[in-house]
Amino acid sequence: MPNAFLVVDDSKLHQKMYKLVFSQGSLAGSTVYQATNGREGYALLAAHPELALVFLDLNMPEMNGLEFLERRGAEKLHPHVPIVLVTTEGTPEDEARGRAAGAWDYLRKPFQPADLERVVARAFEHAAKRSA
Amino acid sequence: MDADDNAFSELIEDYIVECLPLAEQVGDTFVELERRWRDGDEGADLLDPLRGRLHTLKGNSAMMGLAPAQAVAHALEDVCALLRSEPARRSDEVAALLVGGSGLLIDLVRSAANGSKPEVAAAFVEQVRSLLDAGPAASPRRRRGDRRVTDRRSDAADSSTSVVRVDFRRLDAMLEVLGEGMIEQEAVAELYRRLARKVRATDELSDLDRGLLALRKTLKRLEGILMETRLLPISSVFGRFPRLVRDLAQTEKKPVRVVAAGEEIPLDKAILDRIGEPLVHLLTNAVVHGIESPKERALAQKPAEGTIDLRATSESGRVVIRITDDGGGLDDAKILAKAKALGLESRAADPEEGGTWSPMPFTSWAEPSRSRAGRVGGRASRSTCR
Repeated sequence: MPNAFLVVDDSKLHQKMYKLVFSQGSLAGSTVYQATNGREGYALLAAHPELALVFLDLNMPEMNGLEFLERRGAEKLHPHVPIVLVTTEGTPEDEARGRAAGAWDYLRKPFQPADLERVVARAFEHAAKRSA
Repeated sequence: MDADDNAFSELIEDYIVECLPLAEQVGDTFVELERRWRDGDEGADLLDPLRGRLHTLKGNSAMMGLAPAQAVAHALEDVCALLRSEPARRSDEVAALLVGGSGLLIDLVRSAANGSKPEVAAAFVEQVRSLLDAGPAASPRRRRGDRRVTDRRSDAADSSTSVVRVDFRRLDAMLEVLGEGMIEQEAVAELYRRLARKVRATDELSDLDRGLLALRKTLKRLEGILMETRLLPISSVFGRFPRLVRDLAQTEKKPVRVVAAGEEIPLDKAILDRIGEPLVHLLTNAVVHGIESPKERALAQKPAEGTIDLRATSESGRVVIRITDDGGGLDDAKILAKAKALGLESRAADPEEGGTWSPMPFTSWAEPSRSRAGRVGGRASRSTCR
């Protein structure tokens, strides 16, 4: 079964970057759902419990990344789906806040395709361990 | 910079489309900030949106490996952070630095696919650093940011080597050849229809029908992609206007601001290339002739600062650009007198024609000393708009 990912980022440029990475190499053929704000992203997460991983931008209009995580934690929406919080030059405090709010991992911009692939590989390992 | 850093370089046009309007909004907001400062207002409410946009510009430039644009956005962001915590640091000098820096940022984003100018960016960052270091409040964090910026400036040289800059005439030629291809396809399809009426249906004939249909669809798709390639947001033209008007208004000693809307509307580049010049003339006319001197405005009980409204709207498939100023309007008596003097009186008497007098060649009201507005401008805007 092909892997499904959700990208929540208000930048069309970033959306295309993710699509590019998810169309290459071992990730080719992945399904990528896209949302340009937290609200839309939250609805997509609710609709797709099969998601392998969510990439969530921190700074967004209409529900930012932290608000997304907090609501998700409060509503216990698909807690098995790992969420990676993505920021530009986030401080260690930002990272700590993100993790406290339920982010599974943290990715800093600028990232390269290899960084993204590494995070995905770790998520797969994580999922394999959980189901073992 | 290693090859890995260019992983996203094929998205360079997407970068420009997303970041150019942002950079231009930053430029406009700095012009607005300078205006507010002159009025004694800190403009604190402008700083957070500015920082947000600059943050995005910095992040996007970093993702594309465009170190000079990243460095300039970062430096501007640092100045905004400084102004947020220490509003007293505002000055004419800082305003000029911000407006100048945003102009540089716009240039860097616009020419992103072309290779950039690391030296100019580095010089600007240096200027900002000495500003930040000059005051008592250059925090360690800010300095760290600056150092990172300067460290990166050297690796900016060729950030987007796999991007091809295409001469726009080539896109024109492609469109022309594609047009011929579509006509030829249509001719073959017509031939097929005539043939199909004469001979009995066979598998080959229906295959031919399917093939022709598929070819038509493919050509249509190619046409769509090509047309999209030619589109740019109007902001690529509007973007320079607030700064242009600011400079002109300073020369004319009239406070004027530009309010722009609809910059995100896309237009074919061939059209954008041609509307810049007439718009510059119309704006120049609005500043020089339309907006009255502060004294006259005070007499007319208008705010001292004139407003020029620059608005693009999409109206049933057409893009309409309106420039409105809150100045005194056209002086009909003066125009009629001038028309009479030029022997154009009979046409002036027609109310339908009346509105077209001002942008007529040779009807200029400019003082001889004013070089930027006047008859050449009117003629240029009228001929291009036709």
